[in-house]
Amino acid sequence: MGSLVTLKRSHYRRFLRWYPPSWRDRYGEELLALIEDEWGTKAPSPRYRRAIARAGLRERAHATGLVGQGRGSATQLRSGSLVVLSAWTLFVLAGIGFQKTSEHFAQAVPLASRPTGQDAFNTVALFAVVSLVAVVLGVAATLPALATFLRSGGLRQVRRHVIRSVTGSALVVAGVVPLSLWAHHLSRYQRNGGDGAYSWAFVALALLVAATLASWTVTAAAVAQRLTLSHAVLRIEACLAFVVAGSMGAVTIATFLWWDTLATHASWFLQGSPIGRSSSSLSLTMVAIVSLMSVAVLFAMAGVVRISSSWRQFSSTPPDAVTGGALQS
Amino acid sequence: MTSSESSGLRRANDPPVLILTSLAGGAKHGHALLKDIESFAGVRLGAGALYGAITRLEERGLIEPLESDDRRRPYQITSAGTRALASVMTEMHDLAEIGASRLKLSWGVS
Repeated sequence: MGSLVTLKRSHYRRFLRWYPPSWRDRYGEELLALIEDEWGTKAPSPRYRRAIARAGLRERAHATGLVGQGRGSATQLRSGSLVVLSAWTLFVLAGIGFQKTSEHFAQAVPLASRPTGQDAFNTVALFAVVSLVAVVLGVAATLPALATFLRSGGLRQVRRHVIRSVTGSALVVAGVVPLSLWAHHLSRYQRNGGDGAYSWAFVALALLVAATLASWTVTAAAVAQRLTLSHAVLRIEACLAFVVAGSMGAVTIATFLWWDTLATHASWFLQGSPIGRSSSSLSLTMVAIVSLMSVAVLFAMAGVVRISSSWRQFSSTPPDAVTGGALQS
Repeated sequence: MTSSESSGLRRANDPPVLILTSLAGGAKHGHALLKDIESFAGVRLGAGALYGAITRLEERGLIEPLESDDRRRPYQITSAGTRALASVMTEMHDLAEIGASRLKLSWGVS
């Protein structure tokens, strides 16, 4: 009987993985005792498990300041900025797709319509650079805090994230080299879908790049949530988050304009058809790119709203206050 | 902003209101809270919802845990919690009075 209880307890304990560690330490045993009281030796229903999972994820969102007011305005501001950073990473993926799709587009558009397409493309490039500079400045502003974090042995807290990201990066490098060598032996037609094996390898590498980028974003967020940032740095991060989100919006609008120009004057270019052939303007690649951009912009807006909602309270706190990370132990 | 809003409490079936109402009758642990709430409100709270609400209420200082050697830790309402609950009850009472008078209900709320 004792072993059965132990078995059940270890089974129930799995429910706690949805909750943040600090919450588990404080309430975990109580929640397990309640589940035992409710279910005894029976297995909880799938609906009950889903409800626990949802509640655990809500607690994680609370712990990082993504929802609720309990963690204070500084944590909310930091979380809002990190949401914008994560959205920007997603946006970069769409941007890479756009960069590939738009290669040599100027030659495809008739001379009379070229300025419109070129202006839209230049706007995309300009705001992409603006957002990149803002992100670099944001990272640079946290460097002193990062150095302090590393000196105090903080790497141990995020070692799992770092190892996963570095492994992903190593796999990307290991994949890029042979794929590049392979590509050199292929014609342009083969590189653009004519060779099935190459296409699948390219898609696999693209997915690996996306996963690695996501992994680095999670690592950056995990580190950023543990840094002790001054009031001034948090304010800078929030302002830069606004710049990044605004730039993402501008890039998305300019991408739409570029697409419209190409769809009107050179739809064959979007489909990869022979020059001058009539084609549908509804390019699946562009639909995917613009959808991804729009989703990223929506995420960024959610981050901006989070920052805006906590800004007044944050501004009223003493400017010399130093704010510890949301996940500091 | 009303005092009930500032304490994060909303209306009748809101888990925090149900928990505070239950604790107003005495300290209880999680399972006892669920049973009591089900008996007086007919609401079956889930364990996740219960502990989410307990977390928020404790953060706001409206309830506090009691010392216990058992894993089933009991909670009691604090004086701030009592004030917040009283404020919600007053709002509900006022609302019920207006509704009852407009519906000309015989039971009336005095």
